[in-house]
Amino acid sequence: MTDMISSGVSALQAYSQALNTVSNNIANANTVGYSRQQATLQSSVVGGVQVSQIKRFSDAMIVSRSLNDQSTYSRLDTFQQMASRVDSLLSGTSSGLSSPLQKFFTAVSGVASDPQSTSARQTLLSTAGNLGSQFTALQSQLDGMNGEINAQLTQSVSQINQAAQSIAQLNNSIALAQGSGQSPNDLLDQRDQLVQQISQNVGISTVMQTDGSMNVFTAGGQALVLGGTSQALKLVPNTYGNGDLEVAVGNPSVNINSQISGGVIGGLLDLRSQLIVPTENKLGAIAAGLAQAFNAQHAQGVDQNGQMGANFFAALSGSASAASTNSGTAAVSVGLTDVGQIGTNNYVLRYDGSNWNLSDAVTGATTPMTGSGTAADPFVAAGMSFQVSGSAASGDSFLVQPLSHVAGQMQVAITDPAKIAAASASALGKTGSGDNGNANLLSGIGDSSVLSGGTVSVNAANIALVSQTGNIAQQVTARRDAAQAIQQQTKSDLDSVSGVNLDEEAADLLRYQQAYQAAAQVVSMARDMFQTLLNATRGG
Amino acid sequence: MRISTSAMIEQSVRSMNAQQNNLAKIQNQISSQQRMQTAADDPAGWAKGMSLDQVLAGINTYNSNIGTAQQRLGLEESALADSSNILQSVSTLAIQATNGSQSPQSLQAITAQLQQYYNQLMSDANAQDGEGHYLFAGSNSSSAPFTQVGNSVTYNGDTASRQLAIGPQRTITDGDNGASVFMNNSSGNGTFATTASSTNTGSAQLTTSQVTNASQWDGGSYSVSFSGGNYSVTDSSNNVVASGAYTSGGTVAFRGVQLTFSGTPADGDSFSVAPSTSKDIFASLRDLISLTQNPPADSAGRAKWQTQMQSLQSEISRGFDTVTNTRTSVGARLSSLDDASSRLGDQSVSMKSLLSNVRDLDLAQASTQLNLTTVSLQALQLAYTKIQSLSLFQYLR
Repeated sequence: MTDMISSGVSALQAYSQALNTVSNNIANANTVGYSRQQATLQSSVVGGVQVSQIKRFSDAMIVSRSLNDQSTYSRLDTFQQMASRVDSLLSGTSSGLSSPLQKFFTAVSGVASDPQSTSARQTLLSTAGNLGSQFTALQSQLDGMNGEINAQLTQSVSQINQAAQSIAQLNNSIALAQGSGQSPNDLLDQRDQLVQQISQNVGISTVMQTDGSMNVFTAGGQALVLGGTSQALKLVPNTYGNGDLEVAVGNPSVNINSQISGGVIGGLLDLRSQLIVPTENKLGAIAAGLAQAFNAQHAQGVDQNGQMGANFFAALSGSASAASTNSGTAAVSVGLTDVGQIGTNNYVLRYDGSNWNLSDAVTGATTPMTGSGTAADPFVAAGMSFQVSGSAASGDSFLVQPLSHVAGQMQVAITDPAKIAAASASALGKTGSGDNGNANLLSGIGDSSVLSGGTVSVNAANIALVSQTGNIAQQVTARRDAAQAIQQQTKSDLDSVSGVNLDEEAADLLRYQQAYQAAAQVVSMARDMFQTLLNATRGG
Repeated sequence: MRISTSAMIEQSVRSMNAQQNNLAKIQNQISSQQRMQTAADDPAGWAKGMSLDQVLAGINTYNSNIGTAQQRLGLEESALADSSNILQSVSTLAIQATNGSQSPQSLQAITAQLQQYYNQLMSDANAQDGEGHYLFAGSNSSSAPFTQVGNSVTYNGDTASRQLAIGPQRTITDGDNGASVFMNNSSGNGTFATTASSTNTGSAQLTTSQVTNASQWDGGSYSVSFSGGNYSVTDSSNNVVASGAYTSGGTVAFRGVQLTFSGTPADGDSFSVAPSTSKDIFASLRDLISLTQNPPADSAGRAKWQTQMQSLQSEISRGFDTVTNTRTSVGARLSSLDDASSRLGDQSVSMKSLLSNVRDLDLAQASTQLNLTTVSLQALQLAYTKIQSLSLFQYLR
C-alpha cells in the first residue's frame, strides 16, 4: 500500500511537472526563438514514475542552415533596399537626368534657331543651371547613401559585438549547467537567438564544443566567440581616408574588410563596391563627357561680343586622396584630359622611391604614364593628368578617383547670356552676330560619341546608366525573393521541429490532466484501502 | 509534418502581405496609367522608352525650327514679292519713258514715281522679322543691311547664311543675304555694256545688244565707229575685228556678240563696248531716275539717252530675274519645309504609338489582374478566419 501511495505521489509529481511544461509551451507559443519542451517520463526503479529530463526540441543541422539562409537573405535584402532607391532616383522624371538633359539640348536648339534672342540665351543658361544642379543633387544623394552605409555598418558592428559578448557569457553558464547535469533549455534558446542575430549582420559559421559552449567565426575564419571569450569587430577609416569605413579586428587592428561576406555588412560592402561607386563613376563620366565636349565646341564659336567662346561649364577635376601611411609631403592634383579614355575603376598612384606608377585599384594592372609630373609637363595616362607637388617618400601612394566626385562639381561657368558662343568662328570680331553655325554643332553634342573611347554618347550613357541600375535592382529583387523563399522554407522546417502547436499542447494537457487525476485517484484509493483495513482491525 | 501554430499564422499573414503588395503595384500602374514605375520593372523597356523620348524631343525641336524657318522665309517671300513687283513696275515705267511722245511734265511724274519705287525697294531690302532682325543682312542681322551713303548704297551685312536643323542630317537655309539678292548685279546686259561716245552727233542709238556665242566672247573692250555709211569694230589695240556697211536696224556682229543700231550715225560717231562691271540694282534705279530727270534736248542727245536707257532696262530686267529666282528658291524651301513637317508628323505619330506600346498600361489586362488579385486576397482572408477558429481548446470547457 505504501508502494501504491509512493507510486501515486511520484506520478502526481511527474504529471504536475509535465503539465507545467505544457503550460510553459502554451505560454511561449508566440515567443520568437522558443523551442518546444517536453517532459520525458521514465519508470523509476523503486516503482512509480519520474521525469528524467525536460527535452528541448531542436535540430542543429536545420539551425545551422537557417544561419546561412539568414545571412544570404539579409545581404540581398540590404542590397535590394538601396538598389531600388538608386533605381527610383535615376528613373524618376524629376530626380533623373533625362528630363534636364533634354531641356538643356532643346534650349541649345532654341539658341541655334534664334541666336540673337536674349530670351533664348537666358533659357539656355537657366536650363544648363538646372542640369548642373541635377547632377549635383544626384551626387549628393549618392554621397548621402554612402554615408548611410557607414552608419549602418556602425550599427551592425555594435549589434554583432553585443551579441558576441552575450554569447560568451551564455557559453559559460551553459557549460556550468551542463557540467552539473542540467539541461539549460532557455539559455540554449537565447544563444540560438543571439547567433541568429549575428548571422543577420554578417556571415558566420559555428562550432559546438563538448562542454556545450559554441564557438562563432566569421565566414572568413576570424573568431568572434571562443568559449567564454569574445572578440570585438571594429570599424577603421579606409587607408586613403576617403570617408569609407572598413571592418577590422584585433589590436593593433587587422583589416578584414575583404574577408567579410554575407549579412547586412556583406550587403553594405557590396553596395559600396558594386552600386554606389560604379554609379558615381558613371554619373561623373556623363557629367565630365558633357562638360568637356560642350566646352570644346563652345571654344570653337564666337559670342555676341565677337570673342571666342569661354568655358561654358566650369572645368572639372578628379580627386586623389593620400594614404594615411604616407610619410612624404606630396600632394597630387588630377586633371581630366580625355574623359573617353578614363576607365570606370579607380586608380592607385604609387611612388617607389624613384618612379611614380599608376595601377588599376581593382585589377592592379599597370598603366604607363608619360610626362614628369610637373605643372608644365604633368604625368599623362588613361585620359588623366597628374601634377605632383611637395616631395613623396618611397612607398607613398594615392587613391585616384577621377570621376567619383565630378558630377558634384557640375555648374555653368558663364552668367552673361551674350557670352554664349552661338556663331561660328567666321564671326570673330563681329558683335551681335546672327550666325548660328556653332550653336547647331553644340545642339548635337548630346548625341556625339565622347565616352568610352569615343563609342558612346552622353544621351546613350544616361540611358545605359538608368537601365543598368534598373537591371541590378530587378535582378537583386528576384534573388532577394528567392533567398526569402528558401529562408522561409528553412524556418518552417525548424518550426516543425521546435514550434509549439496549440492543438498538440491541448491534447497533452488533456492527457497529463487525466493521468494526474488517475494518480490522485490511486492515492485516494490507497487511503480508502488503508481506512478499510483500519476499520476492519478496530471493529474486531 | 508538424505545423506550429505561430508558423501557420505567419504563413497566412505572409501570403496576404504578398497579395497586398501585388494590389499596391497594380494600383500604382492604374493610377499612373504606366506599365513601369521605375527602370527595375523592365530595364530594357525603360531604356527603349528613354530612347523614344529622345527621338520625340528631337522631332519637337525640328518642328519648332520648321516653324521658325517658315515664319522667316514667309516674311522674306513677301519682301521679295514686293521687290519683284516694284522692279516690274520700274521696267514698265522705263519703257514708257523711252516713248518719244513723253512731255517734260509726264517725265517728271514718271521720275516721281520712280523715286517712290526706289524708296520702297530700299525698305524691302531692309525688311525686318517680327523680332526686329533684318532679313537680308546675313549674320549681321541686328543692324540695317542697306544704307545710303552719299549717292550710293552700301551693304553692311555679310554673306553668311543660317542653317536650321529640320531633320536628322537635314538642314535648311532660313534666309538669303542681301548681297546676293540686291547687290549682285552688273552693268549693261550682264556680259558687256555699250555706251555712246559723248561726242556723238548723229542719231544712231543702240536698240539691242546680246551675246550669240558666249565661247567666242573674250571679255575685251571694243569700239564700234561709223564712217561713210560703214561701221568698223576695233579692239583695244586698234585692230579691226569686224567691219561692213551700216543699215539702220541692221546688226553689227563680232566676237560672238551682236549689236543692233537704229538711226543715222554721223561720221566719226562711236560706241564703246566694254565688259560689264558690278553694279547694284539701286545704282541702276538711281541712274534711271537721273535719266528721266534730264530728258534729252536734241536728237543727238536723244540717241545717247536712248542707248543709256537700253542698257538700264537690261540691268533692271536682270535685277528682276535675280529677285524672282531667289523668290522661287524661297518657295521651294517653303514647300520642302511643308514636306519635312508632314514627314515629322508621321514619324511622331508612329514613335508615339511605339512609346505607348512600350510604356502604357494595358488597362484590360491590369483590371483582370486586379480582379484576380482581389479574389485571391479575399480567399486568403476567408481561409485565415476559418483556420483560426479551429482549435482544440474550443472544445475544452
